[in-house]
Parts: sequence; structure tokens; C-alpha cells
Amino acid sequence: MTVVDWIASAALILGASLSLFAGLAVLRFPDTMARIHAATKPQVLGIMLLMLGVGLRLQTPGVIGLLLLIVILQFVTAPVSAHLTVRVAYRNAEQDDEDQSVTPEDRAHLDERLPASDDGPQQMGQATADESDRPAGRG
Amino acid sequence: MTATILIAGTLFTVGGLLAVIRLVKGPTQIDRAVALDVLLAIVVGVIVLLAAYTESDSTLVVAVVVSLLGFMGSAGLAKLLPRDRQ
Repeated sequence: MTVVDWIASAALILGASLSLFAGLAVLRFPDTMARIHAATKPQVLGIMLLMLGVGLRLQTPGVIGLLLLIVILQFVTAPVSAHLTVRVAYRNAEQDDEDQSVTPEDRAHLDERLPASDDGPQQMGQATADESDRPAGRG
Repeated sequence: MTATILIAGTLFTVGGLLAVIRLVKGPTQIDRAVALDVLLAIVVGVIVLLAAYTESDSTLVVAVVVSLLGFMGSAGLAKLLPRDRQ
């Protein structure tokens, strides 16, 4: 095995172990916010390491372009989908006061950015019903 | 390189099984959506690992499609889940 093969092997195993850690964390972490935090790790860093490993193994321009396309797509879409999921998790956590996954500081910070949550927990059903009436400029 | 593929495949398998346990248990629907996201990232990883094993680029196009599908899936779930609750 050459040096390039060693680096490719190390990248592949590191990327795969990130997936293992994400699975472990999604199973073991106590609340939804922590699970979402752990779940985004293999989506960006893990995919990047795997693409590095495969790119070093198959060194042809077409393959590297395809791998770059996958990495860029993950970079663009992973934060957006994590944000959408966290927004739903936050709104649902608002209904359960015993849920401590969002601290009061986070809540105060997020309340400035989420106009729909100004209504308070008791009007959650209505807030989701008239989704089209929400102010422009968000999501 | 075969040893690498075996080790990485084992790691993917264990990670996927743990995510499936969360998918079955998950107290809320969001936990299930997160577990599905992890599972889909693992599927993309396995497809890429297959390309490394066979040294052919024919499966990489599938990885592009699956990674896009994962985004569409979680975005759609995030849109539809609140109405599902209560």
C-alpha cells in the first residue's frame, strides 16, 4: 500500500466512525435538541471524509467532480434541514414546560426571531393553522 | 484495502442499527425524523464505500440522488409534523 492508500483508508474509517458515533448519540442523548446536534455530524464532516477517501482511491477528474457535487450539496442542505427540524422541535418543546432542552436564554433569543411563537403555548393550534398569515420575511 | 472496507462497513452497520433502534423507540416524531436523517447519511456513506470497493464510479450518481432525497424528506417532515401533533 502506498501513502495515498493509507490516507484514503484513514479517511474512510474516520468517516465511518463518525456515522457510528452519530448513531450512538442519537440513541443515547437525553433530548431532541442534543440528538439533532449529534445527527448533523456525519452529514457534513463524515461525508466530507468519505469523499476524500474515495477521491484519493479513484483519481479520475469525473469522479472528483461528482464527489465535489455531493459535498457541496451536503454543505448547502444539511444546515437548512437541521434548522427546519430544530424549529419544529423548539415549537413543540414550548408546549411542554418540563422540557429543559431549551434554556430560558435560548428561548428569549429565539422568540425575537420566531414571530409565531409570540402567541404563547395556548394558541399553538391556531398558530399552525393560519400558516399563510405569518409575516413575510421568514421561512 | 479489503480490511479498510470491512472495518468501515462494520462501523456503518452498528451505527445504522443504533439509529434504527432510535427510529423504533423515538418518543416524538421529530426524534424519528432525526434518526431517519442519520440513517440516510449512513446509506450515502455505504454507497460511497461500495464505489471505493469496486473502484467504479457508477454508484456515485445514486449517492447524489440519495443525499438530495434526504434533504427533501426532512424538509417535508418539518413542514408536515406540527399538524400531526395534538
